[in-house]
Amino acid sequence: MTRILGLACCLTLLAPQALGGAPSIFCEKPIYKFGDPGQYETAGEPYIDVPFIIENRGDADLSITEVRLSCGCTKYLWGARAGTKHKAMPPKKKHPEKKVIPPGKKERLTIVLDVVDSMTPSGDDFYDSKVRIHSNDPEKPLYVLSLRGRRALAFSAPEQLSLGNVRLGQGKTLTFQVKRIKRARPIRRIKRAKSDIVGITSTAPFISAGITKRPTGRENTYTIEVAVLKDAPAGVIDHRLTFSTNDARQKSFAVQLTGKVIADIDVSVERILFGPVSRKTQPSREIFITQGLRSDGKDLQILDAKIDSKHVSIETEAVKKGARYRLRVKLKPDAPVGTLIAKLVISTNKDGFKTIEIPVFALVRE
Amino acid sequence: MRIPYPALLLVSAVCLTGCRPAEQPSIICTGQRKGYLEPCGFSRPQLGGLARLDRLISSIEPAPVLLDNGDLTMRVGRQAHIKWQTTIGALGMMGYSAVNVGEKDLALGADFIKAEAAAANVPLISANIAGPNGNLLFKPFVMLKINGLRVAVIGLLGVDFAKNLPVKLIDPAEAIERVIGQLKGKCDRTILLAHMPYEQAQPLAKKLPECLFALCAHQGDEPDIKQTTDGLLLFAGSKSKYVISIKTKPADGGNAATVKAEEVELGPKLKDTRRITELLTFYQQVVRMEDLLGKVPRAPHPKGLYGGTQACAKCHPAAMKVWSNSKHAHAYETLVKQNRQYDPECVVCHVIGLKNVGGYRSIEATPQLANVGCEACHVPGKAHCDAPERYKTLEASRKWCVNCHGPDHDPRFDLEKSWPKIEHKKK
Repeated sequence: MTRILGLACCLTLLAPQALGGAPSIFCEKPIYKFGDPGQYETAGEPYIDVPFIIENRGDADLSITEVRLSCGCTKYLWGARAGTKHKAMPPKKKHPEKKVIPPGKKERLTIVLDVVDSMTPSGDDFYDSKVRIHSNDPEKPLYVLSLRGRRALAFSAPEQLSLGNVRLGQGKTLTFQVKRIKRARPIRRIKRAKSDIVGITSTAPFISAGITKRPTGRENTYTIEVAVLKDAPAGVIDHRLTFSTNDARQKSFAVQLTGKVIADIDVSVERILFGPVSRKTQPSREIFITQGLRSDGKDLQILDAKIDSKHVSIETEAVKKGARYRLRVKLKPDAPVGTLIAKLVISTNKDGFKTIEIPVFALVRE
Repeated sequence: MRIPYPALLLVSAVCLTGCRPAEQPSIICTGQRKGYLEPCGFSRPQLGGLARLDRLISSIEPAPVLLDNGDLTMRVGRQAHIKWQTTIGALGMMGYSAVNVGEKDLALGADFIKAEAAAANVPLISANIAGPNGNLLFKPFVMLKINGLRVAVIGLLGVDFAKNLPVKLIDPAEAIERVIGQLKGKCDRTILLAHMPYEQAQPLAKKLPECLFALCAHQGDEPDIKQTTDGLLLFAGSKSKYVISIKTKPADGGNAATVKAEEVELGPKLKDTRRITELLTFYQQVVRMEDLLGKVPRAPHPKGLYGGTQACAKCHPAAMKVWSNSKHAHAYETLVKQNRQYDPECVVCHVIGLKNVGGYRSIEATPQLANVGCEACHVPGKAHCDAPERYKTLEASRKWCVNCHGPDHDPRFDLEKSWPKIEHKKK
């Protein structure tokens, strides 16, 4: 008797899903595309109401336990009517609001989307805000709705520009192009000025940039000249140009500048980084030291290479005597577990490069 | 024999529902990490981070196949190089089987990423990135065993994404034909790691024989799973807040494989693993030793130089009082508590003018510019301090808040709620 009772208890606990009754969440249009957010900004209507109709197509109550929003630019309201205008965003809910939708019924979930103030695009200028609905639907415990848009940029420029190798004291000039992109049409017609670049700043005093050709008539291409000045110091170029514009939707954009100013010696790396490495293995890294300008007329010689750690060894080898050397930095098997920080000092015969210091880092693991 | 009731209950439940132990994913897909090594910690809960990914992976038995779709970092420059090295090291520890090369990876230099990936024992793949001589720079595919099947994982980069890079990009359609020729009779299934959006990847995946799925890129910010008539298209989202977990099961007879994909969030329930935490501490040490804070490229601000927060206090005591009671006044302190005060990518949102000439340099050199002081919102005010009648300060715009309180750093940010906390009168 007691066993039968136990079984009955079990049946009660597992109902209704086990007996065939289960909720089923459904939304006919789970993706809403709002286009270019710029069109709302110019029309002064930063908030859009997006209604999603959530349906329970199953035969048990659909219990929505949480509605999670992926960004601060959206908020949700149950049952609000579509087309409601909000002067301000509705307040955020402190606790997740539960909602039960009986079988065969529908509920309106309104997402209020702030397309201007809070939205920031991802790297590709995509706006993709997700609404994740957690429910007791056994097949789809997580149901995802999307709000998508894409910003039409005002200008198109290369993200980075390689200046290549620049010889010390000689400088270099090169040009590249920036294009003006036709703007998205606003919801309401408004008068506005043509997008234009109003200034360029450089993060390096030894790099200058200017517009050599502005677009005229129907043209949309700017020619920009970048000059590495003669007084540029030797070393890696890690700088950027920032363009300011008169376009509210892209007030500025940047072009990263890379390259190297080569003096009498070119060192292939700025640091040696081992990590993470297993103990008792012998990982190695290479450094190439190459003759650069040869301004003193002398062939390059590596006089010495020392490191202030007994757990790291150095081997120097001439790839081309007097011109190119390879230093192999090896972590010894006795290197203890933990972080190792050392300094490699290379002595050469070149004026201004009598000593070259390269930091060495390693994370040794068991 | 007496059967205990709890056991009876359990057996009955299993019989009635047909419950089995949860099926484990056999493939985990990630991509477009874009330099996000860990959640920034600005507000909680935040998603993502290498340490949580490691926890998720190590909780799956047997170990799943791990695939990444590239763009480990976002930018170029010193910090990006160190980040790339750190990330590939972490992926090596986790045992990644393939990383498809993205344009952001290539921007750091093909030689650099090849050497670092080899050191970390992570295969980099791409079937269409060639050097100036036309030879492929990476392996076009890797062969893996998944559920007893021979699976070829092929990497491709979209042509739109490598316009300014010193490499030759072979047309992906041509590259895929070459790969199909090489794979004839050698594999049972294929997987396409396509560093391109859905619309470009879909026709390529269609060409591949027995393609389980195509993992795509540049498809926005949030993860996505799309079943089309041509196959399954996946996007793991941007900044590695989610992974796509895939369960594969060969059907009877092994002729067709069923694939079930779902997004899994890397949330705070996944505790950070020790080995990745150690690696990130090491990363911070390198950032500090390299003095990246001192090497931040600085552009002159069009409004001139900074005067420091205390300089404003003399004439604006009421505003100062509001500010002093706000979290902005302790922004640097919170950074120190997290030991991130040497990382320029963190410091930029906790001080004044890090990227500008005359802005914050270090706590020793420019203590007056630590914390999110007046000039962080009202632009540089030295000229205004020197001649207040001649130079006016600028009204702070509410739009600027999201520069730091954006969805990646402060997902629960509510402008309407937060604004009154810092709002103040002029005097």
